[in-house]
Amino acid sequence: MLAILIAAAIHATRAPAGELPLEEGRSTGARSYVFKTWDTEDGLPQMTPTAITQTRDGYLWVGTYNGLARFDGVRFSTFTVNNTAELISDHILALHEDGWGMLWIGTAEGGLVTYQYGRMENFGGKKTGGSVSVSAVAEDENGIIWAATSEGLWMISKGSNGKRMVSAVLLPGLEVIAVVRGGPREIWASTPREVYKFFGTECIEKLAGAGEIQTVALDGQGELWVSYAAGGIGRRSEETGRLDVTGRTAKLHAMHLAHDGKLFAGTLSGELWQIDRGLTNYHRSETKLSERIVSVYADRDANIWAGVEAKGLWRLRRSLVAHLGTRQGLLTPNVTSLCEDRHGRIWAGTFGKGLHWWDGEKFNSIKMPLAANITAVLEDRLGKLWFGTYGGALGWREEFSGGVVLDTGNRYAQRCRSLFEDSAGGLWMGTLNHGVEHHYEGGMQRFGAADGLTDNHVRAIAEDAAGNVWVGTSKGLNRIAANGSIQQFHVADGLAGEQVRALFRDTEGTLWIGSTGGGLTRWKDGKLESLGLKEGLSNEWIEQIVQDDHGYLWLGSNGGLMRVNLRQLNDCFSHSSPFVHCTVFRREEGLILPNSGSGFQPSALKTSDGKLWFASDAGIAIIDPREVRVERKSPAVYIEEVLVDEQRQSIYGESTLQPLPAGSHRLEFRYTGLDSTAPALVRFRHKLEGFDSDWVNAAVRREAVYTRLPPGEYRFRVLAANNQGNWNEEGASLAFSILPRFWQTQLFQITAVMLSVFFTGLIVWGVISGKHRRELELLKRTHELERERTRIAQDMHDGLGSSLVKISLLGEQAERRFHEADGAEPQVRKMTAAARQVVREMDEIVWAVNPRNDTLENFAGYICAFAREHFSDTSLECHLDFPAELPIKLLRAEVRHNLFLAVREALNNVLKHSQAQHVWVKMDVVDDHLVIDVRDDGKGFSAADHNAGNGLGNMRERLRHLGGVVELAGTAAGTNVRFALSLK
Amino acid sequence: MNGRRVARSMSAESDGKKLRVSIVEDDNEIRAHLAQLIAKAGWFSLVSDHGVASEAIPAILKEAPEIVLMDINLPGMNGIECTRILKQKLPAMQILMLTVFEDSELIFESLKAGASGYLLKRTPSAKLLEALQEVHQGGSPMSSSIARRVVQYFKDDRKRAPEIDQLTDRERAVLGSLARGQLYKEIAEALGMSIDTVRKHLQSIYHKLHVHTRTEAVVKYLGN
Repeated sequence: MLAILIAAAIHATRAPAGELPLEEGRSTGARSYVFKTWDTEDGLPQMTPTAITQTRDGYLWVGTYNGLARFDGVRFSTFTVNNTAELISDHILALHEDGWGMLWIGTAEGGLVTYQYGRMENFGGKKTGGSVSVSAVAEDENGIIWAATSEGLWMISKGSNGKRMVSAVLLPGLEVIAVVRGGPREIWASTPREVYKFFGTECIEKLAGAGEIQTVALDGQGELWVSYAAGGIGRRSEETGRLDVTGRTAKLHAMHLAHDGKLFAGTLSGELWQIDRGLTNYHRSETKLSERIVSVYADRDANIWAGVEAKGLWRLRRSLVAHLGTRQGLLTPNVTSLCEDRHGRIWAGTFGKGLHWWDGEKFNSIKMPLAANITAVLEDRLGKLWFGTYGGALGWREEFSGGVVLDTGNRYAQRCRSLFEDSAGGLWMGTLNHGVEHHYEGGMQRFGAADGLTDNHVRAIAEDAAGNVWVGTSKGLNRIAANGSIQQFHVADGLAGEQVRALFRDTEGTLWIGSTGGGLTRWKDGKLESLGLKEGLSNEWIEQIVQDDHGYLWLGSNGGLMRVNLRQLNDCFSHSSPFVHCTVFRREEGLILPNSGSGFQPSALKTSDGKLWFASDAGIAIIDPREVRVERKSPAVYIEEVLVDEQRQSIYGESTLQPLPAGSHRLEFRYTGLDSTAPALVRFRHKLEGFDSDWVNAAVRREAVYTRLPPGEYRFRVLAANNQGNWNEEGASLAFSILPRFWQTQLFQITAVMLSVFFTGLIVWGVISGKHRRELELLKRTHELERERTRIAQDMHDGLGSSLVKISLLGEQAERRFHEADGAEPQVRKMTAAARQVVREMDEIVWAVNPRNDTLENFAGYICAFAREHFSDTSLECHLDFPAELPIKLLRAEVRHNLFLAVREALNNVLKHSQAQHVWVKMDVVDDHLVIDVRDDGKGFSAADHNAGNGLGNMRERLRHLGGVVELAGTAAGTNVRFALSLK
Repeated sequence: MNGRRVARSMSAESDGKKLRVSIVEDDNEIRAHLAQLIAKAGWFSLVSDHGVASEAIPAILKEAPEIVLMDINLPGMNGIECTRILKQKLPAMQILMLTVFEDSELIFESLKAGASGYLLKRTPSAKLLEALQEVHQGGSPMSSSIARRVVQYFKDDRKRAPEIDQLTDRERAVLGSLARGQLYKEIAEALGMSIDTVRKHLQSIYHKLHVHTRTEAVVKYLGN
C-alpha cells in the first residue's frame, strides 16, 4: 500500500561538492539516485526548509524558519522581515501558487502574504493577519483560495473591488492544520483531531482521527491519507466512511501531491515514500536519508525536493550515468582499458588487479600474477584477445582453452600504453618510452624518436582513411605512411595541444584528436584545425573520444563527459556557425569524476547495444545515448538586477530602465536562466546593443559588467540555453540610456565661443530647421494617417470583402435552387450566418477606428463583451476577471487594435486547439503595465505546437511591435498566455 | 418613414395577457422584419411601429405599450432623446434600445435616459424574443462593459447624490462583479445569493441610474 520509493543515506555529513551518487540495490543497481544538497553556505536563509514550491516562471521557492528564498538552481534571493516590510514573520509554513501565478505565503503568527510581479503584499493588512498562523493554502477550481489558519478555515474570494478578501470563515475558532482540494467544489480540511469535507461552504463529512493528526493529503485517485503525529498512517475507507489504520507506524511529516498525480511523503526517520494503492514498486533500501524530512515537493521535471531538518534543501534525481565499480566485482576501480569481444563480453584491464570480464551482471576476474597491471585490451580481427601490460609483456588469450599466454620475451618493448590494429591486420603497440611497435605477420618494426617520431612516449594510435597510421605522443602528433616515412605535426600546424591523449576516426573517415589543453583537433582535407572553450566546449582537456549511433561525438575530459553534435562541429570548423553546443554530464547526472583520465588506449567504447563505456581510475561510467532526454524546452531568461556604480536597481519584469545619469561608470547586469534539470549548466550569451558588435559567449556566467560606457542609447540582451543546447532565442532585454556629460568643460567652452561667433548663423539655421521640422511633422502625420488608412483598407478587404463575396455567391446558389425540390434552405442559412459575421467584423473595425474608444477602459469593456460572445454558444465556460475600475489611460487605435487581435488569437486557440472546459481571461494593471492572461485547463501547450498554426508568432509579432511581450506557460494542467504591455 | 398604426384587433382585447409592443425604427426593412417577428410570436401583440420619433412619441404616449423597441440612431430626434421623453411621461414602460454596433457610449447614454437594456440588431430572432420577455419580467440585462460605465458613473455618488439614489453595498458588490466580467451565476455563487436576487439588484441599479440622472438634471437646472 505504501511503496518506499527511495531511501538512501548520505555517507558524508555533507559532501564537499554537495552531491553524491548513491547506488540502489546491489549488482544491477549501477543506476542510482543522485543527491545534491544546499544549505546556508550556498545562500539558503536557514537550515530547515519548511515549505517548497515551484512557480510557473520556473523559480523554486523555499520557506524556512528564518525567511523565504527564491532559488534559480544556482542562486538564492532571500526575503526576510529585515529586507521585506510586508513580511511580519520569518517563519514560513506554507507556499502555494494559484492559477493566476500569485504566490501565497503562509507564515507562523504573521498571517498570509502574497507575491506577484515582483511585489510582496500583506494579505488583509498587518492588522487582520497579524497574529494568525497559516499552515496550508489550497485553491479550488473556481479560483477560491482556502487557507488553513490557527483561527479557522478561511475562504478567500474576490470582492467587488477586485481585491481578495476573506468571504467566509469555516470551523471558526478551531486550529486548522491542513487543507487540500478534493473533487469539484470539494475541500478537505483538518484540525489536529478531525478531518472535515466541505462542499462549497457546507460541511458534508466529518472524520475523527485516531490520534493527533499531523497532516492530510489526497492521492491521485482522490483517496484521503492521514498521518498521525505520534506515528501511524490512516486511510479513509470508501466502505465504512471512516479512517482506517493501515498498520504502518512511520511518522510522516510532509505529504505532497505531484503534478503527475503521485503522492510523495517524507518521514521523520529520513525515508521518502511514494504512496499509492497497490503494492507496486515496493523496494526497500538498506540506506536512508538519515534525517528528519519536514517538507517534500516534486517539480515538473521529475526532481524530488526535500527539506531536511537542520540539514538544508535536498534534491534527488535518477541518475543518467550508470557506474560500475568494486561493488560489481571489479577488484579495483582503476580501469585502464576496455574492449568488447565477438561474444559480447566486455573486457576491462585494471591497473594492479589484472584482467576482468563483464558477463552482463558482474565482473569476473582472471588472475595473472605476472601481469597485474593491464594497460590495454584489444580483440583482433581473428578473435584473439590481446592485452598489454605495464610490466613489459604482451599477452593474449587462447580462445579454445580460455587460458592466457604471456610473452615475456625481450622481443617486445617495455611498458605498453596502447594497442591498435590497423586495416591490414597489423598490431601496433604504443609504449611509455620506446616509441611505437608495429607487429605484422612475420616481423616487427619500431618507430622511435631516433627514427623521426616526435617523442618516445606514445599514448594514442589511429589510422586514417588513406591507410596512414597516426601516432599521438606526449610531444606532438605523427603520421606514418605505408612506406614507413614519418611526418610530424605540432601546435604550430594547428594541433590543439602538444600532449596528444586520444585519436579517433569517425564513421565519415574524419580523424579527431584530443589533447590535454587546447581542445579538440580535426584532421580533414589535409589540414589540422582546433576548437575549444571559446567555441563552446566546456573543457579543453580531452582524454577519450567515441562516437554514438546518433551523430554525436562523446569526449571524456577531466571535467566530465561532453557530447557534441558532429554536424555542428563540422559547421563550426567551416565557419558557418560560430559556436558548438556541448551537453555536459557531470556529478549532477551521476558521473563520478576520475582523478585523471585513464591515459591508456582503448579506454572508451561503444558496445554492440549502442551504449558508451568510459574507463577511469574511479571505475567505469556507462551511458545510454538513447536515454539522454531530448528536451525541446529552453530556459526562461530573466534579468534580475542591475547595479549602477554598485547601486542596486530592482527591475523585475521591466523592459526599460530610467535614464542613467551622466558619468555612470560601472554597470553590472545580473541575469538568470531557469532550468531545473541542470541549472548550473545553463549557458548564456549576451550583447549590449549600441556597444557590442556581436554576441558574447558568457558560458555559465550570470553577470555581465560594462564600464565607462559613452553616453547613448543601449539595450542589454541575454539569451540562455540549457544543457541540451536549446536556446531561448528571445531571451530577456533591458533598454536604457546614458545621459551625455554636460560638464565636459572644454567642449562647453568651445560651444560657448561658437555660440557667440555663429549667433546669427544659428538664428538662420533655426528658422530653416523650424520650417524643416514642420514639414517633417506634417510628413510624419501624413505617414501615420496613411498607415492607418492602409490598415483599415486591409481589414475591410480581408474581413468584410471576403464575407460579402461569400454572401453574394450563396445568394446566387440559393437563387438557382429556389425552385428545386430540396429548396435553398442550407444556402440561405449560410447566408444568414455569413451576414451576421459581416456585422460582427464591421463592429470590430468601427470599434478600432473610432477615436472615442481610445481608452483603456473602453478596451477592457470591448474585450469583455467579445470574450462573452466568443464562447457563448460553445461548451467552454468562460470566466472573466477584470478590474472593476481602470486608471484613465489613452490607448492609441493602433495599440488597441493590435492588442485586441492578439487576445482574439489567443481566445481562438483556446476554442480550437485546447480541448479545455474552462477559460479564464484576466486583466490587470500593475505598475503602469497592462497584463492580460488567457488561461485554460486544456491539454496544455506542447513544444511541438510552437510551430503549428496557432498564431503564436503572430501574437509575439503584434506585441513586439507595440513594445510588449507575450509569455507562454504550458503545463499538463493547461496553458496560460500572458500579454504584457507598458502603458507609459 | 411613415408610421403605421395597427388597429387594435378584437383578438388583442381578448388575449389581454399578451405583451403589447411598439417599435421605433427608421429602416423600413428592419422595422417590417421586427413587426412580423413580434406579431407572429405568441406572447406579444404589436401595437404600432414608427419610423421617426416625432410620430412615435404622441402615439406611444397614447397607446402606453408595455415595451418599446427603440433604434438608437433615428433621423431627427434620436432614440436617446425619444426615450428620455417617453420615460418621463410613462416611467413604468420598458424601453429596449436597438443598435447595430456595440457602442458603449451611446448605450450608456440610453440607459441614463431610462432604457432598460439594449439589443444588437444582429441578435438572432429567437434570442431577441427571449430578451423581450426577460425585460418584461423585470430582468434588466446588463453587460460587463455597461456595468463598467455604471460603476464609474456612481463612483462619487455618496458625496453628491441624495440618500435615495445611492447604491447599497450589496448593489455595489453586484455591479463590481459584473464589471469584472462575472456571469450572473458566478456572482450569485460568490455573493451567496440567488440569481433572481442578482437580477433584482440590477433592476434596482437601473432604477437608481434613471433617478440619479434626473436628479442630476434637476440639480443642474436649479444651479443654473
